[in-house]
Amino acid sequence: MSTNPLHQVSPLPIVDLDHITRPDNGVNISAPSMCQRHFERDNACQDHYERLRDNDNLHDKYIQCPHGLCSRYTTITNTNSVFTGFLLSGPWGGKRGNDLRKSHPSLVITDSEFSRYETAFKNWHSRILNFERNLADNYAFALHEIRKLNRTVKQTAERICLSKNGSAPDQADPDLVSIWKTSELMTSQFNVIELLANSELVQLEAVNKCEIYRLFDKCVKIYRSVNPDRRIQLHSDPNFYPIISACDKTISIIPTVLIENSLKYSLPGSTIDIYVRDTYPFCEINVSNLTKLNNSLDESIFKRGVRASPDGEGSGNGLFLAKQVVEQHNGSMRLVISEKNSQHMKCTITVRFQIRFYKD
Amino acid sequence: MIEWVFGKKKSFSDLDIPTSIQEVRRRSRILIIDDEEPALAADLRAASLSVDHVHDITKNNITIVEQEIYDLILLDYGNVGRSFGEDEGLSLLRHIKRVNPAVIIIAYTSKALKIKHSDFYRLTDGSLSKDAGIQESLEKIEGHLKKAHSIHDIWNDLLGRCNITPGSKEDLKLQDRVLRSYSKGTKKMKIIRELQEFSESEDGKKAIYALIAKSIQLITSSMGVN
Repeated sequence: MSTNPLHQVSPLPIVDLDHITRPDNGVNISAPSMCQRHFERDNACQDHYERLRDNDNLHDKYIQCPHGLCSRYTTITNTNSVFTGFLLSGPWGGKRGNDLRKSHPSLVITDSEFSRYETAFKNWHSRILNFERNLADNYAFALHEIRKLNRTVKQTAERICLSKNGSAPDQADPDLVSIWKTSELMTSQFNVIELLANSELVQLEAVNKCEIYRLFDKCVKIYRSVNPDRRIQLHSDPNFYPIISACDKTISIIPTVLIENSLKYSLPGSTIDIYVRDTYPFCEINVSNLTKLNNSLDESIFKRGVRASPDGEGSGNGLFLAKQVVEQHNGSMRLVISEKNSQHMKCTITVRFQIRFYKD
Repeated sequence: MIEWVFGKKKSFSDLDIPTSIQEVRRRSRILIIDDEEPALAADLRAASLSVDHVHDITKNNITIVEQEIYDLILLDYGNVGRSFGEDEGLSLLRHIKRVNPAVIIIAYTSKALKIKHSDFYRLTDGSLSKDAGIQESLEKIEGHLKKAHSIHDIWNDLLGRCNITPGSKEDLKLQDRVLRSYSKGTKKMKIIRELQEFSESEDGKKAIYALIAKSIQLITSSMGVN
């Protein structure tokens, strides 16, 4: 099955050429059962789709598949797809085509019907995209308004904390500090939600400067304040204050997601350790926690919708977004499992960035 | 001083430009361009910074951003700069950067802009979310103000526009001329006119003027003349 949800409304069987699978059923014509059989049996179907994807000369023609059915390339909002698993009426496809038309009359369409289907599908597609864009705009507008309210709470609480204890506002009245830090946490969460709503943000260039230790330190302080019973330790190599090129809009998503995830999946009473290490010309951040043994945990947790634990909360989007932001910053992110025993294991997520320069 | 009189070439490394944050605060002027005056303005004033706020910039008040009045501008994106183009704050940003490159501009918005407006982040000298905390905002602004008072940054920008290599003989000669004439109107104008020849466009000439004016402003204040 294709991962593209819009393929569900295709009139003809369709394959996403960027992620080739067996054809999805069309609304007007279902994918013939032979497609599934053949796709699973050998590589002939896969090779056929790859040839269609890679050869521009085949893009405006009906091409016969290795099993006699008809395929035709199409683009839908910049994605490569192919309509397939149908038969063209008239003298097309030689004797094999004739035989299939007789045995599978429900798959037969005319050339003009094909054009009509393709146009209708493209129109549908662009309407759905417009709808999604409008929805995202409204969503962004609503989020903007909520951010404004949260800003008022945050800045007011901070202002009062500053007036009570100017030199150490974090040490002011604990209830006030808690309000202040909770609204800081909300800002961090809004940044994550905003990226979910507007994935274009990861296309912004990393043109600002970011002191990576301070970024994590700020986030740690927020989480410590709102989770006073949890232990979060931040360590760094001595005199190591790296600065990286960053996108101010997205960079804070990385510590937010990594710490949030560690808190969610760590064993009660265990410590979350964060190390900022000098691996010149890179800086490496390791976020580790002890978690219940899970032999199936692997790097697929960085994929969209994959949860670190099946019984855990969350949408399965956090690490996917964090990885996208890491890649936006030309960094890398990986998962390392260690200290495994029958009960638990140590789970470390390592993020690596190129150092721009060091702070004096 | 004796060396100056006897002909040793003057350069900006002879200047005593203060770097203490108190001095930078005292000398700095900030403009906030935002359709609503943010509460942050009061926090900045409370931190002894000189802050003005305008709801918008139009052709009627454009001179306040074209002249070297402000060291730093906090620029909102939405509902400002519409008289400069449909890209609102981005259109205004483009104009200011063209004619007054000496001023530091910070993108001041909490809106998630579309990728087609990402120049708003790219062309500014930094960004500050309206969500940011008070201390975080102050720290970021002060960091940029220090840069605004760095004659080397401004001078290098000027050299780039005039095709002069930093550290070259031409650069050192120019530094010497500027330092000897910063308080002498006629000589100063002669240098400005010469350098403006490097640009063919009116906006380019304005930019060169702004950069020299800013350099002279910093020289003057470092000499304790202001």
